[in-house]
Amino acid sequence: MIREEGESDLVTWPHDVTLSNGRKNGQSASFASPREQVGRPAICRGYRAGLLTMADYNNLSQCETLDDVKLSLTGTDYASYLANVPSPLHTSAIVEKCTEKLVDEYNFMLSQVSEPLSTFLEYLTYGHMIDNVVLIVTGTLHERDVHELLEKCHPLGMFDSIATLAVAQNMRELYRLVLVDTPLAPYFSECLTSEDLDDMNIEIMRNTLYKAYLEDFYQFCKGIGGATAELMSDLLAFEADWRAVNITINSIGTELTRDDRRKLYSEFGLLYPYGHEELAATEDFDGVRAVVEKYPPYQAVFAKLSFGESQMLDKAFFEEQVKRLTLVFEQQFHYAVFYGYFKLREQEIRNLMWIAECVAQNQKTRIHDGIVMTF
Amino acid sequence: MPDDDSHQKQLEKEVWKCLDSVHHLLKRREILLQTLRQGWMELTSARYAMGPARISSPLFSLKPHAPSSVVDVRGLPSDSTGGNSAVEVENEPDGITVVFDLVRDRAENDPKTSVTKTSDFTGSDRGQPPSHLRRRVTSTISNDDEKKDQWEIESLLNDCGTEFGDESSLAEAPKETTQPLYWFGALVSPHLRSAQNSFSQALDLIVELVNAQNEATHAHSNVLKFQKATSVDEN
Repeated sequence: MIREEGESDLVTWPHDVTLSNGRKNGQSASFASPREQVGRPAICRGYRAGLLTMADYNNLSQCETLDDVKLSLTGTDYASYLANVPSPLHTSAIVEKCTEKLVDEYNFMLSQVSEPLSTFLEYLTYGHMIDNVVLIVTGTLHERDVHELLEKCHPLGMFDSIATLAVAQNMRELYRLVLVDTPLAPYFSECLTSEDLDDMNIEIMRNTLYKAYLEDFYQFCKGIGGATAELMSDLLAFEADWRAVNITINSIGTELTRDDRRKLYSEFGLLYPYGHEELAATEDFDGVRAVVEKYPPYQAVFAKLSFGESQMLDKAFFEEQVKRLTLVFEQQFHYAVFYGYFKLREQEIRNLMWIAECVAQNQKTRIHDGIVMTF
Repeated sequence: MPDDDSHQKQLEKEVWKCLDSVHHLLKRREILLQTLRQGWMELTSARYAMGPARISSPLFSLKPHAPSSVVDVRGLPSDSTGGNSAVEVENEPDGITVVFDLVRDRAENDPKTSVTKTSDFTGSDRGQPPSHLRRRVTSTISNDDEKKDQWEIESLLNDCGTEFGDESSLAEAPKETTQPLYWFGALVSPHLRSAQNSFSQALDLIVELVNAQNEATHAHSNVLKFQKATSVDEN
């Protein structure tokens, strides 16, 4: 029975999902009101209807120039954002405007929700925050201008004192001067060293932070409980496994030791812990394949690749991710639709970037190598 | 007439050489184009996998560092040149052959120094003796050039007011070569490595192409020369 609007006590829904006040381990969280129970996900589902379809991608594949791409997008949700972009167009301009739309939608949704959904939405930005921190630190190491670097930062990952990152000489200073007042502060406990910031240490810092963030997000979703916990656990476990595979492949042939590699894997997911042990010891792509193919959900990913081929692995993983993200919309009354929507939008922007680059480089035969259809 | 026949044969030989060199040039150009296209697509694939912000121009390093590749220009007496790519011009009084080499730093992925010995062309019609040919490899620059560079660096230091513990170490050319791949992170996508390999190959091909072009130009001028000689004989 539903209580009065505005009350946040026990609410029972027809599907026997019991929501209680507060957020405790194993218990599900409450929405502030039935409006939030239905209204906010409904906004998200409405936005989902604006994602590009196969017909849109087919039109885009026929474009000869970037101006044609802009023209094709006038019939989509991106119309108002691309309308005033002057010619000649660049790929980066298209990506920037599409990202602007994503950010506007995120900010609108964030302004409409309350706890714990607002915290959930904020978690979606922490990954971008980590990327921005690494971008500023790396660029400063390479003696670049801070303003130039700030322009390249992802808008969802911006915070007030981000420009101050340029003065830090090591990770301890990074934390003490800037990051202690940001949501990333709790993730720094494993990174606090006085080692200088060089390329390898920065990369280790990036992956260590991301690992801590994913584990924290995972625990937060578990705390929410219900369908949110069930769906988000699966999605985040997939992301953790994918990260482990990427770290392994990218570190082959580098000076990253096995122990260091092992420390960068998240402590959850299908591959944890035995798969991680094997991945840490692999030295080539076929070894990675042999490890991951033992897990049935990932057999379909590698089934698309021929033996020894690693070029299409990214697309195969993106396709698997999109398949899982579209399934979250089949269930009701959970937060995973927000996660699913924003991840699908990011994939869409990736698709548009790929299409624009293929058109700009006159490589139209390669367009379909990078498009991952959402619906 | 024996002279006419020999000129005719020489002309035919030069025409074949010219056609071969043009074919070589066009082939090199096509391979360069394909290699560059492949490199750019791999770069796009890397941006797709890693994200556009992680591979962008603001991450290029502006720190001073030694070049990873240098073009070594040497002038050699033509009697010391060898190899199939040597182009000799008859009746040239000064036997000077200019050789282009691409020398890579040993710190790159390829453990062996890759020296692409490119085709030759004569420098005699350039009017410059080999001692005045400028070498871009820092260890062999002339004393005058070295002093000039030293003075320029010191004046730059004075202007900027930069203080370093050891100014003399700054005045020397930096010995360390950075690996551009690591500008984008220590753990980068295999697509980015593949893109770097493609652009590295393209650098070799560009040097080959330049010299193939010079060779073709020279072969063409030889054909015209022998054609003229043949037509004089006929008259």
